[in-house]
Amino acid sequence: HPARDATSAISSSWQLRPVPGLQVPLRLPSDRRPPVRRFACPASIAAASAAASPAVPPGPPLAPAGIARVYKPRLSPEAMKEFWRLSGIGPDHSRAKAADQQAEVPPEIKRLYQEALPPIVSQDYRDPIVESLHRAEMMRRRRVINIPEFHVGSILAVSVMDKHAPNKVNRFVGLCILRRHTGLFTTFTLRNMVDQVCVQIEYELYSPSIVSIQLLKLERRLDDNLLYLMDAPHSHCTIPFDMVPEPYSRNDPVPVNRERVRLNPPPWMCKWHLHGYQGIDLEHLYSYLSDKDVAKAIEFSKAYKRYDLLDQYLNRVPVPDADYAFKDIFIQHQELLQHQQQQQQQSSKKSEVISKLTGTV
Amino acid sequence: LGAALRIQAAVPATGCCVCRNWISTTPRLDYIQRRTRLRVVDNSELGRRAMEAGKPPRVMHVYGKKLKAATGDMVMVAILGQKRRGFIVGARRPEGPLRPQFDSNNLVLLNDEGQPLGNRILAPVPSFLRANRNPKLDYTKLLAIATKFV
Repeated sequence: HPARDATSAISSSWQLRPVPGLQVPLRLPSDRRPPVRRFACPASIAAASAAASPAVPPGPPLAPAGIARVYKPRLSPEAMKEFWRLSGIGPDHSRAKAADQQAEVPPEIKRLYQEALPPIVSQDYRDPIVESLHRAEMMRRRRVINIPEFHVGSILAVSVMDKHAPNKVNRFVGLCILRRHTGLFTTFTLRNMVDQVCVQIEYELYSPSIVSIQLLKLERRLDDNLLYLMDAPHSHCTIPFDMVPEPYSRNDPVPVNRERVRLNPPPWMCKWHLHGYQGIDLEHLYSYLSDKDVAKAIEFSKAYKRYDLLDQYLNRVPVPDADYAFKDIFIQHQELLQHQQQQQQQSSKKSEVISKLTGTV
Repeated sequence: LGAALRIQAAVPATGCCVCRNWISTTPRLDYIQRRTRLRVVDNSELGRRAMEAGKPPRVMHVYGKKLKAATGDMVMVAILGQKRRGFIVGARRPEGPLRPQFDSNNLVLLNDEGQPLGNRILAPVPSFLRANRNPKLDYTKLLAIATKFV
C-alpha cells in the first residue's frame, strides 16, 4: 500500500471542487479504527501474565553491568534534553502543550510550510513521533538555508554542490512542474529547455547538498502538476538562466496564471484528457481525439468523483492532525525568526567591530 | 498511430501507480533496451544523415551483462545499415534526485576504439557522468567535447 500525499494524484483540482448541497463529513482520526501501537500490550493480557508469573519488582532491566555500560546513551543528560526540546517529543512535551494551546495559525504558515502536512495514508502507516521529528529536522535545516515559498508554476534557481563542476556548484533554473511527498523527503521538479533539449531535474527540498534555492517568480497554476508540458511546445518551459528575480510581497495572495496550454499533436506520453487538467486548452485537445475518446473524457470530467464522499473523505488529512502540524510548525517558525534576528545582530556587531578596527566607516 | 501501440497511462515520474483510478495505469515504457530508437546528439556525419533520413539508430546490444541501458552505458546500435558503438548521455527514464531527466534518449556515436565520431555534443550532458565510472569505456574525450553540463 504505497504512501500517498496530497500531490501524488495526477490532478486533484477537479476532485475538490465543492458540490453545492453536499456535505463532506469532517474526518476525525477516531473515525478509523485505533492505530496499532507497536509494543503495546492490552491490559487484559498484561494482567493475565502478571497473575501467572511471579511478582517481579519494577526497576532497572536485569542485565550485567557491562552491557548496561555499552548500551547507555553517549549523550549527556543536558544534550538529550536539548534534543527532546528541539524535536518536540520526550517527557517534557512542552512544545506539544504549547501547540495544543496555540490559537489559529496565520495563513502564511500554510503557504510557507505546505510539506508540513502529514501524508494522506492509512492510520496504520502514520507515526506522530516520526512526523514530529521530520518537522524538527525541517526547521533545523531552514536555519542553515533560506527555503522560499513556491508553488507549482513558480520559477526557481537551485544551486547544488557538485564536486565535478569548476566552481563546485551546479546551478539550474527551471519551472516547478511537480511537488511531491511530505516532511523531510519533499521533492520538487524543475523543467527547462537547455540547448534545444528539455531537461527535468528532481530536487529534495531539504537535501544538505543544496547550496541555495532562489525564487525568481512566484506564481501558481490551475493544476497540481504540469506534467503535460512534456507534450506542449517548448516555449512554455523556456526560462533564461540569467533571469532577474521578480519582487513579490508576502501579504499579497499568490498570483494565479490562468494560461491554458495547447498541446502538440499526439502521440502523447499520457492520456492527458483523462485527468481533469484545467491548464490545458480542452477544445484544442479534444480536436485531436476520436469521438469515443472525447465522450470518455467528458464522462470522466463529469466527475462522479465529486460525489464520491468516501474518496474525498479518505483523501484528506484529518483536520486535527493538520491543525496540530501547523501549530507545531508555527511555534518553531517563531523560534526560527528569533534565531535569524540574533544572527543578523551578531553579523552587524561583527561588521561594526571590523569597521572600527580597520578605521573604515 | 503510435499511441495505439504503446499504451502509456499517467503516473508520477517514479512509476508509482495511483491505485484508485479507474483508468489503466501501466507504467511508462521508458527503458532503453534492444530495438529502442535513440537520438544522436553529436555532430558526426553518420548521425546527422541518419536523423535527417528519419532512420534513428536502434539499440542492438547493451554492454555490461545487462538488458537495460541507462545514462552512462555503452550500447551497440544499428545505424544506416552499419553497426556502431554508442554512449548514452541522457535518458527519459528518471534517475532520482539531482540527476537530470531528458525528453529524449540521447546517444553519442563512438568508433571501435571508443572515441567519439563527432567533435561536439549538441545536447546538455549530465554532470554526474564526469565521474567517468563505466568499467567498459574510458569516455574522457567524450566529456571534453561536451558543450554544456547540467
